[in-house]
Amino acid sequence: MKIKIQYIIILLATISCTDNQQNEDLFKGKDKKLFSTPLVTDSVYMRYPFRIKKLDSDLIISDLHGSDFYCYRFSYPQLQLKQIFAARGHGPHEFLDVENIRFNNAGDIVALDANRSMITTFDISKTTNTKQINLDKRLLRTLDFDIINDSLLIVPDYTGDNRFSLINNQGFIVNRLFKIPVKTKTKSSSSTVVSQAWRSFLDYNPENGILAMVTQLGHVVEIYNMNNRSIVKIVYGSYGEPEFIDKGGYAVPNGIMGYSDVQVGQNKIYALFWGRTFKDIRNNAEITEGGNMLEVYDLQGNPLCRYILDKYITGFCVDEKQNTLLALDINSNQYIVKYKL
Amino acid sequence: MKKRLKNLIYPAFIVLVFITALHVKINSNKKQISSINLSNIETLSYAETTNTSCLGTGSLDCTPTNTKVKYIY
Repeated sequence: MKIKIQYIIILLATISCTDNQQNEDLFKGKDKKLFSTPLVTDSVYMRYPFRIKKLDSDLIISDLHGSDFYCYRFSYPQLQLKQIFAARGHGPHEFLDVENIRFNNAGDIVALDANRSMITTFDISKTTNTKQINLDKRLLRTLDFDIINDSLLIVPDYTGDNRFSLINNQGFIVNRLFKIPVKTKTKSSSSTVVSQAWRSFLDYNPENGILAMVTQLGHVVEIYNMNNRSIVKIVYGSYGEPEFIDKGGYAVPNGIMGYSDVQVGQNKIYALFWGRTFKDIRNNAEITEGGNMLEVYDLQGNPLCRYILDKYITGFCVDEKQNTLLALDINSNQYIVKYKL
Repeated sequence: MKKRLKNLIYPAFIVLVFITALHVKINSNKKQISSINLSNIETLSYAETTNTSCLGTGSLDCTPTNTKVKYIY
């Protein structure tokens, strides 16, 4: 009996001394394969279709590297081109970049230009600029946004003091909330460098008050309840938090290409994960852009399933009523693909 | 006498296993730290002479140029 107890102690001692930094795969045994149907559109050339949003019969796609225009409006499901807008240029109503697009409560399109630090609302019927908001000067490079209500927007930025800020419809900061959920302390890096490494995409659903953020350079999903301003859960996936090298005050990615889009649905959170190491990207210039893993969580952050897509996509939108996924395959000329969930 | 010896051997064996495991752990950590430090020194020396470089067309935010790229080094 004594010997048995001693064996157990030895076993426990050995286990306690082994390295256990790699997180487990949360979706082990929960994979489902999906096959796409390409949708034929009017011939519109896009260099890097990145965001796709659908509202009733309107489908908006933004091109992250638009040559003349950044945004395109199609009819759905016919996919006929209706309008091209957000012209590229330095003029007063022109854009230097479109990071993301949203529909507001009135059904108008709202676009973020990070390079001009400006949020613009377009009248969807005319696609003319109706309102421009210059973002608060205290915000340092805002790369995503979402609409909380008619008077509040949510924006992350590179200051790194807080996880994100709430701004009013004049662009001024109303509140700064939460902290970047760094687990591994980086001694020398400034908060700006850490926030660069933790650059995240976000989505907010006003119906349930849930905000989700996903890291581009790591495997972290953050879930916040904006109704009571609380953290629901921070989910660290198998690749863990963003890895980077602080190079002269800039965060140089050193781990993986993580997420590139997220959507909070009625009861689920959908997050598009790439899972490619920068070592692989560096060694293979021909590697396809995009991710083929759509992770699905419940609103408490519990993993439900992971769809393995037959295409590598950059952005998506899920229609929960129709149970379909519309996605952007930038590696093909027929860049809109559809999946049945 | 034999019983006493037995009673001593087992705890001694456990302590030995503990020390060995701890030694292996500390050594492996030492190696990690030294490799991290080395890469940091390398990075710092690079930063002194060159800037961050950005390559290709992608969705990574190249902060020094405010452009979107595939790879940053």
